[in-house]
Amino acid sequence: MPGPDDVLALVRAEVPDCIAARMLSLDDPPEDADDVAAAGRDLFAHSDDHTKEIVVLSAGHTYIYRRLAADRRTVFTAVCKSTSNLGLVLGLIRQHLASFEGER
Amino acid sequence: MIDLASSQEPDPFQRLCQLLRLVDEEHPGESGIVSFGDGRDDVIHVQGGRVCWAVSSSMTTRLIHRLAVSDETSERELRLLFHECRQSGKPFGQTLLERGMVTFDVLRGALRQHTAEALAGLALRPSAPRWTPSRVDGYDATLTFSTAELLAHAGDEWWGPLAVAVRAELDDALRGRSVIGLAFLPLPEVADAVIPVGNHGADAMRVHEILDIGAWAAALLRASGRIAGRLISVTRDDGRTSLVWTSQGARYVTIAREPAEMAFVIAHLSRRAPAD
Repeated sequence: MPGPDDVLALVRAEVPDCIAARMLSLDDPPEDADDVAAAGRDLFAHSDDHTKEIVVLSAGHTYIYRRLAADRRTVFTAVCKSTSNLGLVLGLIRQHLASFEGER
Repeated sequence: MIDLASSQEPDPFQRLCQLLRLVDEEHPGESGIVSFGDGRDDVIHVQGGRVCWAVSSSMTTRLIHRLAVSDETSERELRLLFHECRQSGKPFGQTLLERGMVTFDVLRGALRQHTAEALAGLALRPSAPRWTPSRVDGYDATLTFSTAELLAHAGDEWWGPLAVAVRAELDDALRGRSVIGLAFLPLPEVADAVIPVGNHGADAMRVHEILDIGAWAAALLRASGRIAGRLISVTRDDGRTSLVWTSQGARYVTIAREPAEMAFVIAHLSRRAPAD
């Protein structure tokens, strides 16, 4: 059965212009956070419990934060170059996460 | 209960919001007249929860002046008709249209700006607004305004042409799309406060809902500041998606039931040259 590391490796390998991918716990202490993690936690803190996915576009990068269905306090996080096709990036990430979560 | 008379709220914008909430929260869908003091010169007419007309004794610009400036009809002709309508009891605006003296868009725009400015003036009255249920039913519904629409146009009091430009930007981004949109500018001299200046399909929203959305958008943009976020998409479990973006100091929020609608909006925004 694939674990979180496997799906992260798959995303890094297959999503165009993916720079980083990891799982983020919304319960980790804030002092441990880098900018990507801190922004993700802040964004979910200002959203309600029914928020599933947050995508942030900046001038150079696209940040994708997506809650895991089975563990709502864990957020899949990926950073891609902003030159990548947003529709394709989101489609691939959703597909990989769905198959990962379906097999858990 | 919203009590403007005893309110210590010194900020004119917050007082205006309190006055509009008297209409859309305390008397939703009702007809009546809001009066101040002796009730003669400062009044708001409300028909079925929509504002038809407001006049403030402190206003220096009259509706006739606005119409004369925005159309080719002379002020003298307008005055003559106004007196004729007053004597006969006919509604002035509808008579103007029937006689072809102004176009519908010019009349509606002038009425809306007049009413929005009157409300901003009335909100500063020291006396308490008094709601009196009344059978207000003679107004053409297309010439009445939601509190959301008036709130957005009252923003011109603070931001003038910039509010108009931001409103046009919102309409341009959302033209033809089945989405709700709001645009906000910072409220001058009040930290972290925003004022709505644009409304696209959000007529049914109450004032407090619009203000909550503005505060939420501001919080999201602050949260994304450390990764230099300029556009944020938030999708809920039921598929409802919101977009929040900032451009040249203005903040925009769009809400759609169908995520596909947002793809069109993002495509529109990405076609523009970077604004900031």
